[in-house]
Amino acid sequence: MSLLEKIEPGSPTIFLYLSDPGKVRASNTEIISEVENAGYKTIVITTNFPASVLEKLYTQKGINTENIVYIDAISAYSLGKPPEEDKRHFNVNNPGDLTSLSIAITKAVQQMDGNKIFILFDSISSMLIYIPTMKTVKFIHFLSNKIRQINYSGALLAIEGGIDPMMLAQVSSFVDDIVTVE
Amino acid sequence: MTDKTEEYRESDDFLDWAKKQQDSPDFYWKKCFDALDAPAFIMSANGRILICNSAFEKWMSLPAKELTGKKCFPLVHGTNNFIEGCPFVKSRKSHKRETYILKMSERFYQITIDPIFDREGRFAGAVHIFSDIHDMLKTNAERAMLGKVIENSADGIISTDLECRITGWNRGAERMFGYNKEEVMDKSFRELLHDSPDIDIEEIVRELCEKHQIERKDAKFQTKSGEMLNISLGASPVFDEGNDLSGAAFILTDHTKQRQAEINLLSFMTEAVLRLEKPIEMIRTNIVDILDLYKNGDINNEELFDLVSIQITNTDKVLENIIELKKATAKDEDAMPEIMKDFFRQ
Repeated sequence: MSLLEKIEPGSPTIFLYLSDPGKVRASNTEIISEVENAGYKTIVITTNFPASVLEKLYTQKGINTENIVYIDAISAYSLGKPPEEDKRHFNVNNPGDLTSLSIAITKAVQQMDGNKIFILFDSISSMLIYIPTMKTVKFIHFLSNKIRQINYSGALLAIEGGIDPMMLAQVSSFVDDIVTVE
Repeated sequence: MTDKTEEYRESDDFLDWAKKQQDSPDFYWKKCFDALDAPAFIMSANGRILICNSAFEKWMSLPAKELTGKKCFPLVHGTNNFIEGCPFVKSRKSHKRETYILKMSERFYQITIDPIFDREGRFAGAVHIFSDIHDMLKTNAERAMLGKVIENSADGIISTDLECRITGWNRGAERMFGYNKEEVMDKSFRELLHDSPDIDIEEIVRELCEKHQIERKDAKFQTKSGEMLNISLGASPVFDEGNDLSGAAFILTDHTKQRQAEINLLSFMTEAVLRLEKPIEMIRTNIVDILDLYKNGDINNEELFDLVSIQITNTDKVLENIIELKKATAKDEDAMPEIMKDFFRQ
């Protein structure tokens, strides 16, 4: 069953993707490809690969990136030079700055119109490098609430085994379905 | 004349009876007197030894004929008069049993004086018995010392009867639970621990009755202030003087800090795995992925440089996390040895 077949029309659905370490980026691309083909507009929040690289890779896979808005929380921090912002590209200076990340998400949401909107978060595992478990759980709680409030759907990426059992239990309670990618 | 030196009127018929017993003692009366293990003698109203038993002869290493007729104090104390606090002198006045503890040759004796009255009810003399209480005192002293050790133990030591009513509650238990002895004595131990979910005191007492031993148990106990303690509980049976099971003794060791240290260690291990192993695995996978993308021509030199830089930043952050984690682990960790704290603080 594909991702979109699991989404009930009019009902926001959130997925937790648990991938093998080598499959996280592939999962990212596959999800974006699927939702884009289904006519969704997408917000990609990345704490892993820079938005510019993701956009290029999407394009190489034949994905139309015009309907994708990026929140890049890694480039400015790691490369020291924030990419230029426009109405589809937002930067956050530090992946551990959850306030700025939340503001950027709110801004990105305001850019979207229509009712087929999908949010992809890549990834819980890379975020755990920057903030402790409890803060990460709080952020995931905030993000999943936000997705439901605005009646979107979304997917949270993580490395399988990269979340401790207690955190996994908490995060699992925020999502509707868990997809394991081997 | 003081009471110690005052000459008392002797009872003639009592002296006659004593004289008769010295010259031709009644066989069974003498047998009974000599059967006493304790040195004993019968004294006149003025403190003269009238008759003594064989234990006294042996104790004094003198035959009865050299002891009778003499006053007791030069023989026993080597003094010219009754000693201060002499129970005979007291008994002569009080007409009641009087006792005295005497130390002789590094051993303790209890002197018991029981007054004898003549036909007119006047003080005629006394029965003087030496009881060797040295071993009993030593045992009592050892028990008292053990009692002090128990009372002042850092562990909580609680005794109950077979109905689980508290019969003993040491200072360790007071400190541990916040209840003083008066608050808990005779109360049900089970009721006191009604908010301690892990433990069934009555079941433990039942098990002790059956098996006379139980294995130590870990349990959470709630204190008066509502704090939950991690306790290691040991219990042993208590037997009365007749060797019948009369209750149970509980030894409670507070492992709260140790358990917290174990939880902290587990948290450290978990965080270390999450914030070291998995991120490094992810960084490695990213680098492999980046190299593939570069080999396939999917990314250019500049993008390669950026992606590798991100992985370096990730690596730096992982190291930073581990240092933070080490410091956090050493902070406020009472149960951790100093040498380990130093290691974690580095």
